[in-house]
Amino acid sequence: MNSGSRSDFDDVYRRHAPNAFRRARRLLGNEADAHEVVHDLFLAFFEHPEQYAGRSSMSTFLYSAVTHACLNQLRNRNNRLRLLRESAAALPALDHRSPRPERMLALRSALERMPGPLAQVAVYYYFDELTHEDISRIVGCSRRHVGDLLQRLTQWVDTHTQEQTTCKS
Amino acid sequence: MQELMLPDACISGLAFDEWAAGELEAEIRAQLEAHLARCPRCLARNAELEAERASFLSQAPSFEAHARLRAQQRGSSHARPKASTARTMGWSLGATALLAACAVALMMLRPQPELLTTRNKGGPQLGFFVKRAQRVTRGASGDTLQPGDLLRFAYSSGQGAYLAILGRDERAASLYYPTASAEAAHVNAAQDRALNFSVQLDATLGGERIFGVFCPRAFETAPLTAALGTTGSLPVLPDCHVDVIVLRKALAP
Repeated sequence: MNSGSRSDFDDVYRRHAPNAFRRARRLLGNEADAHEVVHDLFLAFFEHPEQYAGRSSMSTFLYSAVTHACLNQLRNRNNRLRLLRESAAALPALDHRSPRPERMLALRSALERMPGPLAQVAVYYYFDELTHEDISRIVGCSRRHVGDLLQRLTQWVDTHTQEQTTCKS
Repeated sequence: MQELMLPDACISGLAFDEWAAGELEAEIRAQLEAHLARCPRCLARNAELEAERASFLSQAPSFEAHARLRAQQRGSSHARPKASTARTMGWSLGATALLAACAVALMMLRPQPELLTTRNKGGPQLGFFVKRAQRVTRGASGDTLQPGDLLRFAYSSGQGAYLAILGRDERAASLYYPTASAEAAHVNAAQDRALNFSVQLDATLGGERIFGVFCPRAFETAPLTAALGTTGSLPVLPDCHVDVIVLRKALAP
């Protein structure tokens, strides 16, 4: 798509913005912030469509872009303070993929502290409930590497759960 | 195809999104449609996603409209005390989405009439009653019905609107309401008002989605029926609200 092709851009917006918004709202837990993310994302895409080049599909590109943008949102200082207040001691609930509200809160709080690659995989695995194959398509690496990342993610969660338990006792 | 399914063989979120974006090849689309026809869970999830997409595009049908919406939201959030009010609202919306997801999961186990009141909370709603062998019961999204059942639709809307009701089953799209006009019919504000017509379910088995389209202005129904028939989805409807009911038609056990 050329940056001058407005109708193409509108078509991309109509086909993809609702999906991007849905994921952003779920990740951020907030409609206004999700609109912010979607707007910035599509504005950047309109100005620099070349960033999409080489991806297997626009959807996988947007999964990655929305995830990056939301993780950045979650990591800003205000969100950090708020999430630390809200999440309390919910981290131990991370061992299940069911999206109960307290787990979602715990996940958002944990994502803020996770190393970048693990946070991305955690989003796809816990929030989006994607398969290893889907995750490997989005991240652009092998299924084996995704398996390794998920194992590291589990270890990270275990370690931090233990740390939290130790601190409380 | 294997990789587009979750381990329990359901359609993954990414596959749903690629499907909606028109990125899948015809062969894969056909396989997903076949899966949808026999999987109530994915059928309900598909309808939920479709309703969310329609709702988003009715608010922001273009990037310009989205920019205006975002500016309005920023303006209103700056106009009031920043912290807790906005955050609480955000969480209540997030919680609503979660509750909806849980409701869908529960619906798979046991259809619940109460779901009618949790679907698309806040906007106009479409409901229905089922008449089978002289017995009338209230229906709910997720119900399994039988060929020959009579459906009578009802709506709830806080304000007057133009309403059209369309259905899409395994074979084709149909216009159910209005029955004798090329344009949507005006309906007054009402709570749970039954419409004065019935639809008898035909013998086509599988999933059927019923779309209640509420718009502030009159609109022609033929383009909607045509789009629903060819793409399986409704086109962008600025300022309109779409409520979706998911049904499954099966023979009596």
